Amino acid sequence: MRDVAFALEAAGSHRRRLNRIGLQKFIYLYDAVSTLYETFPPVEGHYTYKHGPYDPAIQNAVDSLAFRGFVHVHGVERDNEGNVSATYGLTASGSNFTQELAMVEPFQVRWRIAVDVAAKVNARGWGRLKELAYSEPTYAMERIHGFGRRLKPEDRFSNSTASLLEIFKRTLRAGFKDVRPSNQVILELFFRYLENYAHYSRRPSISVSSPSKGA
Amino acid sequence: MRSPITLPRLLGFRLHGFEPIFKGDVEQNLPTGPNIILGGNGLGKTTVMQAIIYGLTGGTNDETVEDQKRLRWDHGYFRERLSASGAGSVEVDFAFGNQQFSVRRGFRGSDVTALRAGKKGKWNENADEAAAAFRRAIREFGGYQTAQDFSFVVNRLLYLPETRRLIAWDTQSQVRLLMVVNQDAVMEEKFRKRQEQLRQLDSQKRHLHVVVGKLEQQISTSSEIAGYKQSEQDRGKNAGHETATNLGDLVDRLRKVARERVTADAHMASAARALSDVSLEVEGLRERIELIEATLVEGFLSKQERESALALHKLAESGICPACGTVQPELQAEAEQRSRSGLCMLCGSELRFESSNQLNTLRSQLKEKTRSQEAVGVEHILASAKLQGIIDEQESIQTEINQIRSEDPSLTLLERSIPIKSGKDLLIQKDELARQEADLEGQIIELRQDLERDYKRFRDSIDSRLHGLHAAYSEYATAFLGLSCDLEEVPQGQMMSLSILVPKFGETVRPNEESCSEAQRFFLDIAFRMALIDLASDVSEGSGTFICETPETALDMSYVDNVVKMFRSFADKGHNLILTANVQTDGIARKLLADIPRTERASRVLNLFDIGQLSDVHRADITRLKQAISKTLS
Repeated sequence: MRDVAFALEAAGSHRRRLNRIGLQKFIYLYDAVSTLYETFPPVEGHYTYKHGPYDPAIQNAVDSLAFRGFVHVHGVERDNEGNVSATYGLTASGSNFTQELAMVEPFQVRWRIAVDVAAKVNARGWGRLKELAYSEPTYAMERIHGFGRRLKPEDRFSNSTASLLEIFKRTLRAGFKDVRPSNQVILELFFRYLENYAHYSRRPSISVSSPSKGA
Repeated sequence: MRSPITLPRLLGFRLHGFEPIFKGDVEQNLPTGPNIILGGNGLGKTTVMQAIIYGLTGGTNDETVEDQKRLRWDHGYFRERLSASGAGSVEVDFAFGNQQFSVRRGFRGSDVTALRAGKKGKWNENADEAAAAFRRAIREFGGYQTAQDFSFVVNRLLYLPETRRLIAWDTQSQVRLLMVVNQDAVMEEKFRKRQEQLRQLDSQKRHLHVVVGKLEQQISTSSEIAGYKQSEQDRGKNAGHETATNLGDLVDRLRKVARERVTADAHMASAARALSDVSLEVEGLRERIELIEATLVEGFLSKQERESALALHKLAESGICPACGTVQPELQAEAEQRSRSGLCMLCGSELRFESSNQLNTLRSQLKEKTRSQEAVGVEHILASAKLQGIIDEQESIQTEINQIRSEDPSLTLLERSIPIKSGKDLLIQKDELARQEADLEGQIIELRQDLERDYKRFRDSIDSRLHGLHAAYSEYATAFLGLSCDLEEVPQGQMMSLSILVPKFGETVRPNEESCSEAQRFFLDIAFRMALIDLASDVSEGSGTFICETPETALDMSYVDNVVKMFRSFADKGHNLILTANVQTDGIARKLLADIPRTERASRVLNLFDIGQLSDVHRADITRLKQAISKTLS
């Protein structure tokens, strides 16, 4: 509930409402970078699923928050296959609850992560949220093995975001005694990595016409 | 990481200059679903199929595509049959996903001569550029590592020719196809090359064995040998055997490195255990922290519910049902009771609330454990790096040994049965070769174990995909046999044990072709191919094409409906199906087409009686043939 509230509030600060998939992807990225802030995502978390990383607890939490009056559900539609789509935003009560929560010491760091990740996503366009989450190293490695596999991007010792962030950190520190790169710098590098991965894993266009004969 | 391959979906083809087989140019679109090349004996059904495959791949004249020399073919196949072969050509339209291409090949050579991207794009007729662009399309849109992989998939998976070259019991083909289809999980080419290396080592060992035998023969017949036997102790001092000495040093180094590897393996295992232990402790602490944090969050939610007078607060305070909005005193009393007992006021389930006093302590414990986890993790990484270094060194020494062995001139002499003159040399050579043979045996065992381990790891990694393969196969094979049939994993392979998937029906596993009847082996092979096409299509989220020559040849009429059911099930998944068929009044073609709207049927049939050269027998029976064709189409 806390992470759903933080995600909706952080997205809302950029005048964005998240849909079901967007919410899943945002919280996945937000959990993935959490070790950079010396905190961890929930123990029982994300799994591989056909629409990318998925955590059933997130949808349950947002539905519960909606029932209790903390979340607005907008634009509910049903497509031809019976799938329901909607976007979510916080109600005034939800926003009050989130702001109070964000000021409590144990949750300040997670709120900071949500704000920072939202800023990075916003700079790249919210429409790219899905491809950014698909480029996260743990998911990219696990998806080939099928659905239902547990994702642990915070595991420092596997091919994961945590180990990538660690490499960035160590590289930036190398040769600079007492210099610590800020989380912002490392996060920016990580998002550039995701962008590049997404770019190169896309299928390129191909031309069969003669190459230009220019100088 | 490699992306999965995308199977080519055939969209149409055009044949130019195919006289005298056909009267003029041939053009046919291939819409999704069943497509029939309808003909009779000698009317060119096989030619059409071969032409399609030729257009797409240029044939199979490459040992990495077809390992049996007698089954290789290329443009020469057509040159022999066409009167104006120099001017003839084949054009095939196909798609990788949404990207459509058309490729043209002539018969002066097997290379691509022109390529077009898109449906209405411009043909690039510069042969070199077109060939390069085609290779690029295969790589970038199809995801294939090489043109040979593409050709292998088309020729060995998508196309079942009249030669009945089956894959269902062919270990090498099955393994390669499974690996290429799942190339995002394994480096197929590397695995294949290491298998080749294993074969070469085995062959070298056999040669050595023969040579050692020949040497022993020469020694036993040598009159000089007695005198030399006494001076065997001096053999090591022989200055003429520098190579053997070098080889000996290398073998010694190899043994030393192998011992180091055992130690490094043990160290690595111990680091992994330590890491696992500390990770468990970290997880336990995290769970406890999460629970306390959830309690805190729930406290804030309740507070906000009170302040904003939200639904659950209204229930507790005023008894207003959050669902229907009416006042329900009984519900209110129950909700209050549950709330006091630490239960959810609506469903009554237990809410585990934890005191927040311990939060700071747990957090500091977690921080400590995380540091310890990191330290153990670094040790694990170092152990892993050291192990990898040793493995690399081992491989490098083995390569050096192989190099020396292959350059050893005395080996060449002995293999050609050229006698070595000196008896002393004979003894030295024999001992050295026997030692090399033993060393080769060691290398073979190690490489075999490595390959078997890698293969098992690959199979484990695609476990969930294999479930899909089993399900699809079972669907097709059961439809054909009319009794439950599934795939069973059995060990196969001569040099090494590679488990492959074979049919099991009637409670019996069918480990080889001979355990099935002719029709069973043919149609179970088709079922296996179609299941693999399903698998590849699922992985790449696309669809494929299956091309089969005259399936009815092996079939009695009672199984026609079953085969039709099997093909229909495949076509219903959005795949293309291209079959050749002889004209029959109640055959597969007619029954498959029965599902297609009548107005579309003719467009799905290439009628070779219209374009082919009829024989006298055909001409004599033309009325009956026309009636049968008409029945098929109507």
